[in-house]
Amino acid sequence: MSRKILVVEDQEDNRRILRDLLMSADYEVIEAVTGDAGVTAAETHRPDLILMDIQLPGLDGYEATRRIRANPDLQQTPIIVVTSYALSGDDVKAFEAGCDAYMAKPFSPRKLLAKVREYVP
Amino acid sequence: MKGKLFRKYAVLFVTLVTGALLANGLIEIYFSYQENKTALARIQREKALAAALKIEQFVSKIELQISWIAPRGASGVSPEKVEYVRLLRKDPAITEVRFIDSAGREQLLVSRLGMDREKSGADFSQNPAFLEAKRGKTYFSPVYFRKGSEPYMTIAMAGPRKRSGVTVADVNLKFVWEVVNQIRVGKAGGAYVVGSEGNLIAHTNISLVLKKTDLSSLPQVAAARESPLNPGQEEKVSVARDLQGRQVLTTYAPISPMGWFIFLEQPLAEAFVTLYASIFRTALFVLAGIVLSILASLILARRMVTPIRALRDGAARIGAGDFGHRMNVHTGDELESLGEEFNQMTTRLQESYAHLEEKVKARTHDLNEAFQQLEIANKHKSEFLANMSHELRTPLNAILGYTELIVDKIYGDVPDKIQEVLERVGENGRHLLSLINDVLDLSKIEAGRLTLSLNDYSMQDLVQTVITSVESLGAEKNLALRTEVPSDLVTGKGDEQRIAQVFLNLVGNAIKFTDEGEVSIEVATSNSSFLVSVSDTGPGLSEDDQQGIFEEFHQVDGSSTREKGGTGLGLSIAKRIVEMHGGSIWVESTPGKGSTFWFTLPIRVEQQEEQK
Repeated sequence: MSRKILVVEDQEDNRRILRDLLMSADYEVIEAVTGDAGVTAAETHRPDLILMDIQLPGLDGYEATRRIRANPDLQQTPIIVVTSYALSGDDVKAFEAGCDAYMAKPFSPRKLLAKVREYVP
Repeated sequence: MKGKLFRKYAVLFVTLVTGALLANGLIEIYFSYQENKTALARIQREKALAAALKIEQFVSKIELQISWIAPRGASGVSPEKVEYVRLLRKDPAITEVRFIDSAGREQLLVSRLGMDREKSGADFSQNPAFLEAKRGKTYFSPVYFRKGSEPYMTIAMAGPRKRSGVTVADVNLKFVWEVVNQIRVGKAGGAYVVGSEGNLIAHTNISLVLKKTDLSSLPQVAAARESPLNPGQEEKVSVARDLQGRQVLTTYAPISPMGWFIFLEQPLAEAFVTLYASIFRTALFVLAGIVLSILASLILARRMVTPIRALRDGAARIGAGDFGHRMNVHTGDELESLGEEFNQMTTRLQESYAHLEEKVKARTHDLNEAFQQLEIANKHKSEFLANMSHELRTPLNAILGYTELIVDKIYGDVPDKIQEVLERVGENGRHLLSLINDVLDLSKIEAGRLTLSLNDYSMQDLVQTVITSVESLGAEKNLALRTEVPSDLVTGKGDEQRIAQVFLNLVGNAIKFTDEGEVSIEVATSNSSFLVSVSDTGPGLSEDDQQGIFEEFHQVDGSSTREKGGTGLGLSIAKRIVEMHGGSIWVESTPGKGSTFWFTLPIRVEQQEEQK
């Protein structure tokens, strides 16, 4: 059974890169464009891992992460926060929101894949 | 302190007023003296003239009576005895009458004192009385004394014809004494009569007369004898000394035809007693006037000087910047208008000063506003740069992402040639990205949007993290990475991530520019600061480069920097971060031997330093 990864990302190119990268590694990719959609998709699809962008229209990545964590069924799901070049304190906020790992943009697809494989081999 | 002006005015006024008063007083005294003297003299002279007249009348009466008898005594013929006796009876002053014939023989003598005698024949031919009378003139003998105390004078007169005899009368002059005794000049003054020889004839003090005092040596007598005046002629009064040597006011009148003089004199002390009193009064008034005028002068001078001094003091206050001061001079003259001019000037000065202050305020305000606008504009610029960097980075991330996917053959096989080009694309993209990131950092610092997150950190751990992240780079170039960090370093407080950025920049540079040798990191503490050095054995820096190396976009060597993937902003950012922590950064280097970058970092940073 292929593993499901939810990508919450508003930027189309980033979504495509992540999709191409992860599908080439035989992951099933579910995509959400907004924070709200991300939360819904997480509850609907129960992914094995979530890649969460921070800068999202409407609900931002921190808030989306908190809401997902609020769902008892999703408390164990690994969440990797992907943020733009780290402003001071971003990582702290991300961990406070309940994420498992933190990845600063620009990420190298190679390194991201390595990170993903740590949680979902 | 009295001012100079006050002294000047006071001296001037006092001199003027005192001078005028003194001159006036002296002139008054002088004229009063002269007038007084003249008036006294006139009174004296009138008395003298009256006395002289009395004496003259006395003598001329006798002369007249003798002249009546004389013609009867015809030449050689003795006159009637009866007539001589009658003459004696008629005039008690005549004591004796004798008739001398033309040959000079006494023919008749009628006397009150002795026996009458007739035809005695006594020789009188050589007697001056006879001789003088025969020449046709009435003879007046010098005064002589009988019985020791009776003054007498002989009067001789010849008959009208050639052969007429001479009548000689001895006249008692007690009457003259009476006249003299009756004359009183004041209390102490009196009169005396002087004969033609200067001998004293009559005096209130008879003993002087009896002593036959000679007065010809007295200057007033000498002067009178020298130029006898006609009666009635105005005579200058004279002040002289009397026999006792007292100062006297004296006048005289001649008594003709005997050639006598009657002198009246009064001691000056008495004569001028009223004059002296009036002089004393005048002097007293002048003195009082002087005292009063000095007082008045002082008051006047003060009144003149006070407004001037007020003006001077006021001008000084205004000069010192007290523009609220106003001259308070109400003299109603030029000084008051000067004060008003001053006040108007001060008002204008005050206004223009206030105006100036307002202008300065307005300008300062404008400048502040302009400065604020500039600051805002600068912030906008920095914010724009920050935003732009973010916007630039998003598509760049996509480019890098796709490039890596292609290189990693996610989209299938790639010919070697394309693979190589794509790797170059990736490299340049990453360089561009780091440039953008540095610009973003610097912009954020300048826009004041970079705030340090101050937390405790361990310097050892921090250095270890840095070493871990650059190990691979060092290993690639076969460089030794050496660290010297004491194990007992205290816990620091600061922005660990930013401090790590500084370390990474310095160590990264050191590795980049060093081809062989080693790169070492040393940490020490000194004065509650960490002292960090990053040394390399690279090419080193010239003096000029050491100066400018912390400036933005300073490049030691453009081409080599580009080759090494530097942005020219790393050291600027490092400097800013160190300074935000309250530390400082500098470089020591010897070209050809390597460089050492030093920076200090307060161990406990409690507050972020304000950036210029």
